[in-house]
Amino acid sequence: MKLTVDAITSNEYPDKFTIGDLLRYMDVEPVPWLVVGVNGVFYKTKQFDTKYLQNGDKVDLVYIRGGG
Amino acid sequence: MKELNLFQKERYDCSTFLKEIGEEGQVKLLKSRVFIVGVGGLGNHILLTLASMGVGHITIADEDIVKLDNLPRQILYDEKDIGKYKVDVAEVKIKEKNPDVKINKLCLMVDENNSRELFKDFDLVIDATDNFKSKFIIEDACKELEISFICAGVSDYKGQLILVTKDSKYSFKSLFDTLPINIEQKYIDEDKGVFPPAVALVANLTANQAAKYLLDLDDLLLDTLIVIDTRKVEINKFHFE
Repeated sequence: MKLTVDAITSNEYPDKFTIGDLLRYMDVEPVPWLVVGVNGVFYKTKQFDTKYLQNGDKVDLVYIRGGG
Repeated sequence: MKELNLFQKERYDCSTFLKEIGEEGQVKLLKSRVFIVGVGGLGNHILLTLASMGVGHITIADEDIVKLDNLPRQILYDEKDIGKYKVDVAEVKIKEKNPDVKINKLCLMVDENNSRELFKDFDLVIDATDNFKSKFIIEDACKELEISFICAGVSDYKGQLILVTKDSKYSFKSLFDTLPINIEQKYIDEDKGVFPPAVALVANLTANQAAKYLLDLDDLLLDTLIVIDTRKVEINKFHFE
């Protein structure tokens, strides 16, 4: 299916793909300060393996910053 | 104060010409009480913007001294200020900038023991600290006192902020399933750099939210995480599910 991940669009993602699957596919560690936005709604670490992505979704990986 | 004097009418006319603000709004700003925790990168820009636009009562707290590597992003400080306490330098600069502002400086670290007493009389607390632990302490105190706060953070080219009021359903802590208190140091060590324009942008969006809140404007973006990416030149808004 087609996803736009951090502004890069690709048609090569498998169907039935969760956020967790996507992070593993990208070799991204699901650290506690990572939230993932899907079409403007964000999901936290415990939701990564239950939230299924849909064809055409816009996905943003957002690392929460602690610096000042 | 019920109305602006002639000098203030001229000084703030860029704001008072805006129909949503007017003289009434400017008087409201001059009466407002804001506590800024941390006058490092974010705190410098937030303080400068809010003081310049006439937020009348600002308390700043920070126990650090000015260092050479602060100067690229901490715009209130100059080389001659190295070794001085940040709050001392900031106080002088803000008094020069806008004598309307009553600035109160505290050379201390805000912690679990003092935060509630420090924050209790303020309209808004702005968290411009540089670590997660302080952000959680500030949030806990503000929520207990039912004081609105803005939590901002920045590193490398990116940052985020969230405004939390008594009407908010969610807060900064709501972003986490597991609070990343003990791993902050690892995170900082892995990624120490910060792009000065990113600091300025996140800070000024924080000041924007602060001023809108103090003015009681109706488009506050509650329960919204504002995320800034200066590499992509993007500002995105994310909502809780």
